[in-house]
Amino acid sequence: MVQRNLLVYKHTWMVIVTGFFEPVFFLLGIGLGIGALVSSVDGISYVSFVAPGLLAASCLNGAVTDGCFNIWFKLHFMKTYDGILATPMRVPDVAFGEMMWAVTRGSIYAGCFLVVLLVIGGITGRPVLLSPLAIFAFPAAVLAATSFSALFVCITTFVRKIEDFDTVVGLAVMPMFLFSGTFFPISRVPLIPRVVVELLPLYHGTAMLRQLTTGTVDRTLALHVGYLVILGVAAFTVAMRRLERALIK
Amino acid sequence: MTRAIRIVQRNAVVYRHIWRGSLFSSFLQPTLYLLALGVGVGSLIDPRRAAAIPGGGGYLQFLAPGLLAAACMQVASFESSWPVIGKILWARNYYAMLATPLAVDDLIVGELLWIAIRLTTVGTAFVLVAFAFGAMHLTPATPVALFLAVLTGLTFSAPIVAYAATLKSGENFNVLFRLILSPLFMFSGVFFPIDRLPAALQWVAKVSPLYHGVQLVRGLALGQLDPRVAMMHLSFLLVLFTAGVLVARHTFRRKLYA
Repeated sequence: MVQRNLLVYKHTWMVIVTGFFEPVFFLLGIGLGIGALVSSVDGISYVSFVAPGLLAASCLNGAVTDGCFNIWFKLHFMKTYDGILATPMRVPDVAFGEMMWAVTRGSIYAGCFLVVLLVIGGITGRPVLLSPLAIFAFPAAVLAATSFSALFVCITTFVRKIEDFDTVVGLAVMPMFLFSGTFFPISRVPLIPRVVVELLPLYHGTAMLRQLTTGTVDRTLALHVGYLVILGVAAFTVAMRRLERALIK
Repeated sequence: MTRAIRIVQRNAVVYRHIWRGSLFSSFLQPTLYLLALGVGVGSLIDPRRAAAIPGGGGYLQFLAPGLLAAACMQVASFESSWPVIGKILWARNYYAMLATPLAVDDLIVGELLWIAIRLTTVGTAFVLVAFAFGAMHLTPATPVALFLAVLTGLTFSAPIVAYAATLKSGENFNVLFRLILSPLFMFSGVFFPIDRLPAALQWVAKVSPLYHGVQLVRGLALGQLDPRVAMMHLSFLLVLFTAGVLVARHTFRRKLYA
């Protein structure tokens, strides 16, 4: 399954490359541009603050494009899976394969983005990654990417019409992207919406990565990691069951 | 040219069925940006450095007119990409339309007119939301600012419509959106004045129609637009729009009459 996706992506590699550029543009635009107007956030520079948020957001972004649109197309439009199941492959193989592919892609994005952060820190002489613990940001980002992918594959199995993705992206992904502490600390959000934000997956991804890259690790890290692991496993289990039902008639 | 109205009517009939989905991208999204970046990030801005924000108002007042122009760019770009290529390659509506008394020019004018109407509604809604947030004032200049934001959107529409008629698949649009439009969104002075950018990127910003649109709309909204500078920005937009329309006439003819 991974091999198949790799083979397809040999032809559409531009899409992957551009997917990586998006968070970099945001980092340069918002981080450096607006950062010049902000003296510090919770005692760190704005770029350092926003970078882990964008890393988490790019994990989410990758999960949405690969998890939602591609899988929906293969499921309903191109019937790729029906073709695959006519071979010795079974539904769990397909599901695990797609997940492994999402993890591979997420790792590439996360790795490249972390390298960009190092380079920017090197050029400007003001490091963006403030702690050696940032090494662990890589596996942590892969965990976040995996968990988000499982979630969106799971959501995809419930989506019948392609137009409904507008609703998913519009009402879930965009607000989550803007308000999960990516651009400003959620302590600025009033109490009731803040509780909602704290229940959302992206908030936990952002908080986890920010603790690692800024070196402000505390006990809540375990909570964030635990949340993402449980979410990933639960979403994957549901997604697998739904796929079985959808594909085997 | 009155025939072009038929295209507008046709799009309006279709839109009656799909407006719910587009409500978000066209209206809710800029509102959320205004809230998250204007209010959220705006609250982080150091008062000592706030003097660097042109206009003398707060960051929210600086951001809102920029986002108005940017929202028009995004809606216009989207409306001139997928729907247009769909009518050429997939649903092939244009071929059907050309079998009627409609001509290629009617198609182009009709589509652009329809996009202008969409942008006007999106822009009006945005202005009202921004007014409710205290991010924009309603003055006699506001309708002019709105008109200029719509024009900014159309300067993107015309070349994208022209480009759509040259494509064989939709994938190129992903590259266009991610490699051209999203950097323009970031670096055209919507979120911060472009003198913060390195010199090379400032030049990129200066050829971006969004930059000229943002300068016009913001200048009018903040009531500090120098007429001579305004004429320069305006002529840049008009030249680009006209060029886009001329190219579109060419690419449409080549594609549809082939």
